[in-house]
Amino acid sequence: MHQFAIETKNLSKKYGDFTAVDNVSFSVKQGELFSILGLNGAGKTTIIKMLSCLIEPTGGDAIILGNSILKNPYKIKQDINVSPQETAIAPNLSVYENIEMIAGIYGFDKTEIAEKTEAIIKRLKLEEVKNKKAKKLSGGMQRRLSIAMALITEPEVIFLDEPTLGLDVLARRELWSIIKAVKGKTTIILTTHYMEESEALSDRVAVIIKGKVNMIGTVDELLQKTKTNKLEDAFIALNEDKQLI
Amino acid sequence: MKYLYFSSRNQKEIIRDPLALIFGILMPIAFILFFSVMAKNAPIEMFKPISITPGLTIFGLSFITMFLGSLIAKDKSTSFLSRLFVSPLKPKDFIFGYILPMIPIAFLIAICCTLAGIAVGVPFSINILFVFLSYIPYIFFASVTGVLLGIIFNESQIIGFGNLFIIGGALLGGMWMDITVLGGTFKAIAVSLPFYHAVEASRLALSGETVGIWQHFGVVGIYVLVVFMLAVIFFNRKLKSDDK
Repeated sequence: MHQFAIETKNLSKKYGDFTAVDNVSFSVKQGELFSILGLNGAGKTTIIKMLSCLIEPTGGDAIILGNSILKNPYKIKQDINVSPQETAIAPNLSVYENIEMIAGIYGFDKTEIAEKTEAIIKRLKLEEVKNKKAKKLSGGMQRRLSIAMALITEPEVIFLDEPTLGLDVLARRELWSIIKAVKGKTTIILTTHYMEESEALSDRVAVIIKGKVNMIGTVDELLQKTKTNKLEDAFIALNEDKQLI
Repeated sequence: MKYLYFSSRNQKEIIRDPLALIFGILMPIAFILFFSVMAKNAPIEMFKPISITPGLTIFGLSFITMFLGSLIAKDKSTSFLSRLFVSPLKPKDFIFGYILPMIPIAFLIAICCTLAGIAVGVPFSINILFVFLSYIPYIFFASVTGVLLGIIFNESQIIGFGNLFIIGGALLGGMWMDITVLGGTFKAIAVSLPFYHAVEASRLALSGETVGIWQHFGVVGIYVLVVFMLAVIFFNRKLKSDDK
């Protein structure tokens, strides 16, 4: 058991002269739901991509479950999963087949795959559409499937990159309840543009401005420091005036 | 064996979107029937079923490159491949996972073309079995080329390059004509490429001759190895690239 599920140390990513992520350092405890907030292009998705070993940093490192993303990416990959910003599903496969495929890729045996697939379908209320092709599902159901594909491997760390983007209010609330149920057992890194989502779900929040960590804390701590009453106001205040920190 | 689950998905994706597959099977069959009619009216050796059937089967197998290239290019254009890049799959798992489902599809194409050939006059003999074995190196060549093209090009580019592979391979491989009519330079190019050797090997196998067949297999085999290594290199580059 590691003290922190994730520890980033001066994590940086440059594209030529442009610095997308600039010396980002933070720690996330096991079971914590940690939100990364920022405007478009602030560097949230780049941080997620580096932490999920999808792209390599140009500076610094991150230790995930005791392993470096630079030295042991394949050890990390076995214990993490991701629900990308765009819905990442195989369109011509059924809901069941999509989930089953991911479980197989992560090395579960046939019996485990069948048991876990049925269980996650039940847990995420996908029973009615389990034999339906993924491309024929509604946007909300596709998102739910995408999250089921991330949860089936029972990851210790899960990255949810704007999981409720474009969903209606009911579908969003349903996904919140799924995320809440996972919280505590699994470490969750969440990026979102919806402040109320972050407020409802997060244990702690990091505000990223132009690739740098501007402030980290609980929602209450952020409200206190920015002398605001709502996370949205705090976020606007931080983005409008970086002098507050 | 993690790639088996990925491979099964790839097979389902191709089979469940069957228009391209049907086209890839029907087109060489139509050509076999067409040339067999021509052979009856014009005494050209190349148009006889025993010559044209292996050539046009190789032509049909070239469609595998297009199927695979299109599938990979489509996967690249969505977040689906990013999800898999986060998984513990390694480059070799991806490549085998893409190639493996092509083998039964390739044999389906070969069976359909051979049945069409038998229908128009190819003698049914043990040589049919040998000709099936002779297709194996080209099936791997067409598959690894599909992987390579799919990694390098996007969905719209793959249509152009895939067609170039199919048509260029047909012309330079002498699939329905004698390459000597191409003249010195083009013939030299044709002989240096794998298409001609794949066609010649299958024609020799169907006619029951084995002299020189291994030389043709050798050339195709070298291309399989070279293109496979290129596919691994480009896949590694894609895995490490920032463009995902």
